[in-house]
Amino acid sequence: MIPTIAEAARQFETRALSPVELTKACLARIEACDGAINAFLLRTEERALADAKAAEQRMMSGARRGKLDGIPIAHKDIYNTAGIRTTAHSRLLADNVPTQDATTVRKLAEAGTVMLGKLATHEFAWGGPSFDLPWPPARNPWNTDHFTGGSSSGTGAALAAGMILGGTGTDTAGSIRNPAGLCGVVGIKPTYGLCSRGGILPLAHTLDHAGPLAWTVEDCALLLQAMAGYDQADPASANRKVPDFSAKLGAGAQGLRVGVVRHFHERDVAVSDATTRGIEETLGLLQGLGATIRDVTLSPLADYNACGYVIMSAEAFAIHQRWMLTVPGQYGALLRDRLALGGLIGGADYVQAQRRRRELAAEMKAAMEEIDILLCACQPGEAARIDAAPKWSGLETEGFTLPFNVSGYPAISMRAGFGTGGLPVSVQLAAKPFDEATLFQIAHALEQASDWHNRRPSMRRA
Amino acid sequence: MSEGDEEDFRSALRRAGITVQAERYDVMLAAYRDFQALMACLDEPFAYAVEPACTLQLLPLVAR
Repeated sequence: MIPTIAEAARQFETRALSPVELTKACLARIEACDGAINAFLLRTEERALADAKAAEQRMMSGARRGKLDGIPIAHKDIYNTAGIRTTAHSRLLADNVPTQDATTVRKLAEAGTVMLGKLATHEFAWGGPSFDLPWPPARNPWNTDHFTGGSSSGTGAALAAGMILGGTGTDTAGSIRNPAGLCGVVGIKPTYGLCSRGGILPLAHTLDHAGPLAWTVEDCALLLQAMAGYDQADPASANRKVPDFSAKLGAGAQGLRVGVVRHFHERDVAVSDATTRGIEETLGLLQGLGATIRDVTLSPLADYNACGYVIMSAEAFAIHQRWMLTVPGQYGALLRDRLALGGLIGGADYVQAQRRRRELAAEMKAAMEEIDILLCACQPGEAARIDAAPKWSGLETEGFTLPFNVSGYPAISMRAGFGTGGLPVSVQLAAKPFDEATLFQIAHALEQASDWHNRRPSMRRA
Repeated sequence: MSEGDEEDFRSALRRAGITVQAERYDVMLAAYRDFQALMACLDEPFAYAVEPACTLQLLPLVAR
């Protein structure tokens, strides 16, 4: 069994485990499992073993860099990696080899992490799951006939399958939280501006966020600690001190004020019985931990969805316009259709969406003034079959994750049980801007109060 | 939906310089119509002061 990051760090400390042993175990797991999961677009075994040996030498010489030193991770393949192919899971960048690391890749490497390789994504973080690309889509380790969620699909899948201990993702409309929720792991979209997007291929500039996924809340806090911080390479980067995200782990939830956005899942979008049960069980756990619960009303999910989907589609087309007009056939059909629709949005529609966004952000700010945490659904239910995943996403149903991209507020998705198909269901918690520490505090308390994180996929095919 | 929508769709394609393959035309037209319905949420009249600047309101809630 692959340990969590925190467990591995403790085992490194006592010399019960070495970075090289752990890295070799991860490589063996990848070799054994990834043929069925397709989480990796590229494995970097030599680099991983070199990283692990360097970490081991630091450990032996008393120069260990911290809890991430020697921890095997992998990066979503829209994070630039110097000298290592970065494709965005697209034919268009099949031979792209960046000369510089993304800022967050560099920071994680400086923390001593071991890079196992590059992970599957939806094409350019939007087009998937697709079967007409040079690499197949990642599959859900809880049942490989099912979708992982996206677009950080390889990261969610590799974590659930125990191939990596942590990984990077990006989230423009839910692309960290959706695969985390559907693969039964934890993923956080931090506050807009907290984590640099420098060196990460963009999807929609004003909605894009970078962040980590991991098996536990504590592991996410450790990864975010290394990733966060001001960066001149990202024009939206917030120039502020990075707090200790682990400071309040173990502080419980006593006295925290939680607002539940019930209408999202009771009126706006239908959810499965398992999801409803997961939300109610989570609320019960929070009450048992001493949190106070109240209902909160926001605008209908449809408003957040329209606003976010228009902005994302228009900005994505602006980024891809040159290729869409010159080599559209190089894209997979799914992304090409989605981008084309973005090209049909008028300037006035885009501005109206941004005006509405300002109102929605103000609404969320007001709603959060007397509470510490918002709780709502993350997904309607378990992962769909991979051949039945929605083609147009936001056009077919409103997503629960987009409100926090529209507002820029930090949000985390975590397990809340399992559905009738045996796949995980999840909930989503959000906090005030730059208050990730409280988000980790309450999520950690919930995780410790339940045993959902103790269940691993058996890697079966239906 | 009307034929006017289809003319709007064709105009928008021309303006954007996008060519839709014949076999994708109906799918894209249907999606365009869905998109117009979705954008109806944004049609409400805004006060002049509602501007897109300072869209995100992230700083005042938590002290540095």
